Amino acid sequence: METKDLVLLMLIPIILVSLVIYTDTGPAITGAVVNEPAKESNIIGTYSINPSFKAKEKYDLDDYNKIKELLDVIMSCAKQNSVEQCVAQINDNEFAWQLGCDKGAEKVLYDFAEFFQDCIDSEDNNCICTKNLELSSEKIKEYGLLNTFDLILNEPSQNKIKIEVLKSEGLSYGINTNGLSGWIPSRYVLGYDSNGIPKLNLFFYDLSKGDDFKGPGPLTKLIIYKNNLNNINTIDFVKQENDNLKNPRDNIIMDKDNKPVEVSKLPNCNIKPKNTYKLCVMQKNYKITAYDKLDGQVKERSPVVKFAAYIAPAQNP
Amino acid sequence: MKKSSLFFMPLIVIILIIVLVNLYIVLLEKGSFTKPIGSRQFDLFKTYLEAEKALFFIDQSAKYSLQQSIYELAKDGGLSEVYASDVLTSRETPFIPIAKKCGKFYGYSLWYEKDAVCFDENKVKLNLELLFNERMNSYLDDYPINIWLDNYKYEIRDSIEIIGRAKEPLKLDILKDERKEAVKKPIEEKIITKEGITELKEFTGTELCAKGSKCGLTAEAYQKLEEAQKLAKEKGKSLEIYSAYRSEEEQTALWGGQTPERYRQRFPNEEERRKYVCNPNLGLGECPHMTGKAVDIRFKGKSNSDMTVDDWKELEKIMYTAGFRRYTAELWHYECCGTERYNRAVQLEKETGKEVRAIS
Repeated sequence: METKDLVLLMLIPIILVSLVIYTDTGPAITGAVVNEPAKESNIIGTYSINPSFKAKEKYDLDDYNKIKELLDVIMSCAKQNSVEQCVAQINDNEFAWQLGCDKGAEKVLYDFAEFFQDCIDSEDNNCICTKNLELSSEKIKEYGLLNTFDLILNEPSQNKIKIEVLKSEGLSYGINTNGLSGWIPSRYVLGYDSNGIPKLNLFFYDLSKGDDFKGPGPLTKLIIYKNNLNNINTIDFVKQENDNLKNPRDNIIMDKDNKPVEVSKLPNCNIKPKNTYKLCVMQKNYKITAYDKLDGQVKERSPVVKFAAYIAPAQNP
Repeated sequence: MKKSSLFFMPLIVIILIIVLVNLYIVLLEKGSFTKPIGSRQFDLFKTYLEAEKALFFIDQSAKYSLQQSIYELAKDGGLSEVYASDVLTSRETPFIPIAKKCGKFYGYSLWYEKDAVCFDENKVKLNLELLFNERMNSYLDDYPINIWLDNYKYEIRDSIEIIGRAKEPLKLDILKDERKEAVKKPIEEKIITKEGITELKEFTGTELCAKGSKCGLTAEAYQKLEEAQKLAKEKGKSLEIYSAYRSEEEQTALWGGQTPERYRQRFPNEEERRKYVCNPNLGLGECPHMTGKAVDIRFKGKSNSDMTVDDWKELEKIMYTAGFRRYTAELWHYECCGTERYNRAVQLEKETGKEVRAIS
């Protein structure tokens, strides 16, 4: 062996020992400085992607233009005919038109709210508003009313009554009382059986006694009695018994002369014509998967364009 | 072979063995062998799979959101019912419907009143976009990892194709395998605001920042916020920021209608629009979020509408103690550290000797 080979051979262990020393220094020593390893970041890097997307659906927003054009046709037609006739004429292959399409809780809520508000808005006094709740069994099925619906009425502010549907999140309506007060229910519970017989129970809150109680019932029709007592306009939900009216405490209602009010002598309140119609337009042969909070289900449904429009009444010749 | 070679060869082998054993022991002590070779690569691969899962989730969310928004739009008669409280930057009382012109008739959106036309068919696309964004946000908010909300610029093409172009990329942390959740610390960065260069603490993804939101504050404001969080924790609550620093570009985009809220399109009248969003051209006094010293805040686990009067009162007390002052028109908006509104509040306190927790 030559001298240079010997030197090289001697260098090998030196290099290896140096390697060991080098490996044993560095991060291990600084690591000891960190006394709270739990707070160390455990992130060793970031991965970045572009989350853009594209979604398609076979649906044409231009349908709204078409519906608006058809509505203009209905409005022209209604100058000579009834709105019902005009709507029936407009149905074609693409769209199915209908006057109102509320079902279930929506139907119960809006029917009651409209009846109540119309009665409040009528300008006359010492009169009654009546709504018969009986429906044919076909209608009960069509409207999805084979159930019990519970409405809660409360007064969030003066002149306002908020009606909420229990178990139907977000479904509510605000009634403007125009300053009227009286026997107004705090709870309205309506149910139907398969024969179309309604069962309406009204619950009231007695401010003077501070108690909740159930009014007479079950009822098959709603009656509101508008009266003026000592120059104060009142509005009471009442029950008819023979030719008399009874308040929720089951007492016969008396007039100014302290005689029982006779229903046969009371006029119906004069409900103002609104000429505003609820319209539903269903796109035929098209379905999408969607959730509806009314039934709480995700399923295939046809989108229904729901809107209301003022349609001027037919002009008498 | 020479005699000397016979001596050296075994010597080298012995030294090699000693060195290798020593090396093994040292590396073992350092814990480097606790993980198999390639574990880091696997960590990266796992993150890639997470990203693919997130992309799939976003695609599916878009598909269902589109169907749901078509259904709801029809139910609402082509008009959308987006509430001011749902929009991060609403500047007036929450819960005001801001998209309806004539309201509803017993549940049905009015298209025509006796003397007014309430339906504009040209806004149907915009209304669909608003509804779609809302649905998309609710899906993305439910996803376990932090996906930005309101992060898309939408384009709606005929018969319908909706394209969502992301403004910000989706960033996923590559985590060490032994811990499942990211432990995040605020990152310091320098930004140039109208006031000059500012040190910004970016705390997106930390406990203080709402999921899906981007959060940044000046170092001083962040320090005060940490103090507020400490006070909240003492009361068993936790704070959540859902809007903090906004760059001039972001504020201009909000004002200019380039965000899903579409303020400019919905409120072409600037005075009307200023009720909901500030005009960045009117300076930092008008738009304090651009200073990095203003926050929109609530208690964690509650939306603005879930916050009770007592919650708001408690929040105000905490924030005041930590050095913030509230804007009177917004229960959720606080400022500190020398903004124009904050200075006015402090000045008023000096003059009157009374606490000024909120100022207009």
